[in-house]
Amino acid sequence: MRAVLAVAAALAAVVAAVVLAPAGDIAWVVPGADGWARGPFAEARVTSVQQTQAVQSGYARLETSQVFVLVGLEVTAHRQLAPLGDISLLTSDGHEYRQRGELGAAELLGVEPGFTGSGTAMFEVPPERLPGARLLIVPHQGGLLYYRSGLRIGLEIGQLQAEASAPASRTWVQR
Amino acid sequence: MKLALALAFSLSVWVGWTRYALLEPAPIAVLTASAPVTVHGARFGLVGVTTLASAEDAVPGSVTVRLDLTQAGGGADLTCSGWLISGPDSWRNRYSTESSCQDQTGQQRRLSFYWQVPADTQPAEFQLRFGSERVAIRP
Repeated sequence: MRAVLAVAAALAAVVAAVVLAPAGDIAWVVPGADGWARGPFAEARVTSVQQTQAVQSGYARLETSQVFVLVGLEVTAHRQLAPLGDISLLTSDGHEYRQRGELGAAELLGVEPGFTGSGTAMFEVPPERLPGARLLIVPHQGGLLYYRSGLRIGLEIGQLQAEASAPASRTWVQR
Repeated sequence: MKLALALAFSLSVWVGWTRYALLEPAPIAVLTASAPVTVHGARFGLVGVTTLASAEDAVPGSVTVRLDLTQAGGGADLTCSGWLISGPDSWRNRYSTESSCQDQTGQQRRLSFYWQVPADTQPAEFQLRFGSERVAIRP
């Protein structure tokens, strides 16, 4: 009986490590007074937040019965390429939304050291969940039990607009 | 009890390994202009480094850095990537003239790697990476 309990405890520890570690070991960095969130692998700031029910993106026009949240942001990288596919919007009640992928040239895919990139992330969210929403960026994709750090930036969402568009992403030398 | 100990030991080994894997490995060889190196059957020689004005569509304030090597042998399955190191920063090559160090012909050939970096970047070292193995290149 004692051996069975020991095995069960060991299995529970393994399962807990596998299930809980990925979300729990991220060290979140929030913006300072200048608006930049400075993490060990990248820095970012939000430059604009729009909410709208229609987005003009290239040749396509997207509409929703909810709202699109367009977040303009600037990002710099430290050490090596910061891939920015892992950007999400976290609502105050714990729902997490991934980027919609239709913005094309306006999306910021990654930034290399010494450069600053700007772009737009778009999320589709029920409007009642917007108050208190935050942007999450995890530029360092460590694996399980690796040290991971992320940037967490509060969003001040403006009035609903009839339609919005996102400027093309661009990159410039930071220094 | 033995199974529990085995599980605990395995978990410890696994945690240790994942953390060990994060460490920067030391280069297995150093390539200089006077000292070619042979890695996985491929003999690499250093030709030189050139800084080029970036193309019109490049980021203003950036330059293109080109590293020229020679390669002889290695086979069609040999893959690699080129890295430029400057202080704590590193850039993976944007493209190379012969992709991934794959040798299709068995003849010596020129291999060039390109990076786009800020103009004030001072490359301290270049690296060829073969998976987790690294060859340091010091012009």
